[in-house]
Amino acid sequence: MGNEFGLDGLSISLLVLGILFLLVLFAGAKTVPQGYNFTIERFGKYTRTLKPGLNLIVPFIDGIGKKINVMEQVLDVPHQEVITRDNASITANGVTFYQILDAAAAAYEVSDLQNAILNLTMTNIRTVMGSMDLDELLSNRDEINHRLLKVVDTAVSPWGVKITRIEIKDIDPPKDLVDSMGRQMKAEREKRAAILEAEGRRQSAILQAEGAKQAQVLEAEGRKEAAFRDAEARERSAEAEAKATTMVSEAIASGSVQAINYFVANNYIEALGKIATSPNQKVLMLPVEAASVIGSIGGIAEIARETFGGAEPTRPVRTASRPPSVGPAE
Amino acid sequence: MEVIGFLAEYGPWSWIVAGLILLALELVVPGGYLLWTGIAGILTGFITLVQQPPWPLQWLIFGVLSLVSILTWVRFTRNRREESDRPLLNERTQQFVGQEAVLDQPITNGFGRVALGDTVWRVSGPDLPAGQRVRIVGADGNVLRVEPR
Repeated sequence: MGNEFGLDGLSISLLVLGILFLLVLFAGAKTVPQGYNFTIERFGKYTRTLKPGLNLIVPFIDGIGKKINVMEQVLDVPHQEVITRDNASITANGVTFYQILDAAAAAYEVSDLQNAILNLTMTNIRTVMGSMDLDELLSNRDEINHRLLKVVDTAVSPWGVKITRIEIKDIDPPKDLVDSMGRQMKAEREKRAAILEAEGRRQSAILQAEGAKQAQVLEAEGRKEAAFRDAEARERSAEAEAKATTMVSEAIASGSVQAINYFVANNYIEALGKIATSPNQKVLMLPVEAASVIGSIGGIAEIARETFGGAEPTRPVRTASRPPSVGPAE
Repeated sequence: MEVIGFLAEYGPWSWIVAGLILLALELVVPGGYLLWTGIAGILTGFITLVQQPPWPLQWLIFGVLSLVSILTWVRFTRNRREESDRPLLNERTQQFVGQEAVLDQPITNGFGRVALGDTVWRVSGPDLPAGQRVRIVGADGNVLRVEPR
């Protein structure tokens, strides 16, 4: 072929050589993007890892083996059935974050790394969750995550992978269990409410009784006090009476009987006045001895005489009847 | 074979045109190969302008220049540090080197654990009690090498 171009062997060789150089360039220059590491295989055997950037490899002998993603990756852990320690059957799913730190180990120590990590995670989720009660499970996610991370991270160590975190996303107990959990919570709240109400009633009853007791005590105290004061008042008035009597009798003893007659007459006349001015009184009742009131005036004269002049006491004016008088009759 | 005819017709300028087209393609198609061939094409064009070698030789020159251009680039970058404002990107374990941490668990049989960067790392080093402050000096895979501070 090719002789219509008038080429000799040397020209063809040169041409082929030039094209070969181009191919060598394509085979020997490898650009690795950031976030990836390429492994190099020399006749199928791993030799080194290419870092991001422009790399030269020996053409023909070296080849790109595996292109490893060294960015952190997210692996969805699908829903799976787990039986807890107290025999509740739940479904759980999660998410795993991992990063390849050693591209060579990840490429050749394990086949299908993602699948391996996924299976490890799933089995360990079963293990960890199966060793807990349902209530623990629902409230201790942090601890579950922590335990999972510890176990799986150690297990993937030979593959040059770091598990940065494992998170449980959903824990779904079966529907009837959720219902009964709801009922349990409702009952719990109702119980609390009932207890609180009873507590309130008890408190209020106690307080009311306390109040009543206090009131009665105070009342009794009041009565007692009042009685005391009454008694005192009676004592005082009796004392006053006695004193008055004493004073009167002293006055009589030192003075004369006529003084008393004066007082009595005074009261007598006042009483008469009241009777007279009484509005509905048609009939004026005069005491039988009304006339004798006048007699008491004699007593007054007696006093006047004693006071204003030591003249002979005159005999009181004799009236038809005896005046009301106190003291010894003359 | 029209290409060869075209090359024969336009001589050196066809190389320059082809090189420019390759450079343009490099911008469109990622890969980093066409850049060198483009440079080589333009250089070949200039060489053939100066003195016209037979066209198979031109192809050889083109191939050789392609290799030379990339090797020159590699030499050039190897002599100076790789320019990056984040040299430790994706090198998670290298980012920790030099940092200090407190042992969560004692190192027994050469392995313990340390909380770092929102996760827990296995560490290897001499046996140390928990609570000991350690400095990270390196890493093997997902195990960090530590030594007591």
